[in-house]
Amino acid sequence: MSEHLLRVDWPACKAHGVCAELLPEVISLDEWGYPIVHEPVKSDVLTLAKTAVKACPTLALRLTEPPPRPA
Amino acid sequence: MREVAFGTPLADVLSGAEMAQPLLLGGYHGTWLRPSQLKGLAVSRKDIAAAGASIGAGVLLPLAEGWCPLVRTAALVDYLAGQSAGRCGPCRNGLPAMAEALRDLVHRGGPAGRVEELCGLVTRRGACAHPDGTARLVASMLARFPDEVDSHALGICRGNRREVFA
Repeated sequence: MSEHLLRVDWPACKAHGVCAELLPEVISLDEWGYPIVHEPVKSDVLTLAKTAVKACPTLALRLTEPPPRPA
Repeated sequence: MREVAFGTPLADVLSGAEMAQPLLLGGYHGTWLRPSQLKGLAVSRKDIAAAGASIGAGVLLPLAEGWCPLVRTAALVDYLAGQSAGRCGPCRNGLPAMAEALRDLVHRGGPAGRVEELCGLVTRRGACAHPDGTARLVASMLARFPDEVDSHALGICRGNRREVFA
């Protein structure tokens, strides 16, 4: 199963920090409160990741599926 | 400004005195090279990539004689921090912090670890590559001039500009 990736829309992000609250497994905050995405989203936290995407006050977090690997 | 064919020896573009100085290759977002790396280097993507740099904007900035590459880099990062559009948090906060950490390293013998940490915190964390390019400049300074970094930690600058530790 392919892993999803979290992407940050950097100009849109205003360091509310909601994503790191909801998904500490994948996201931590830097010293200024901006998210650091540590790894791809595994299936066990996919639902949490979707919640974090929806909860972002500035809609700055996106969940993308990686492109299929070339055969 | 000069137009030269790919493959032209760098020694044909720069003077003998300039070849004996560190070179900032690729402009302010470029990469430092030591004088020893310039010998036999040609203006070609392949040669320059092999030296761990990229021709970037095609700008060659030889360090003026008597200058310390660390002092020069700190001044450049000061400028580049001021040039951030300020749209993305990591760049808006990270570049001024990097400029401060570099000033601390260069003028007060502060820790290089903080500078390295900030390079990591701004890279690939913005809508444009301004922070990435700035981090590349700083990372190349740390990689190419470890002896100078060590001597600055002891409060010694090898450049002959006395005001450095003023």
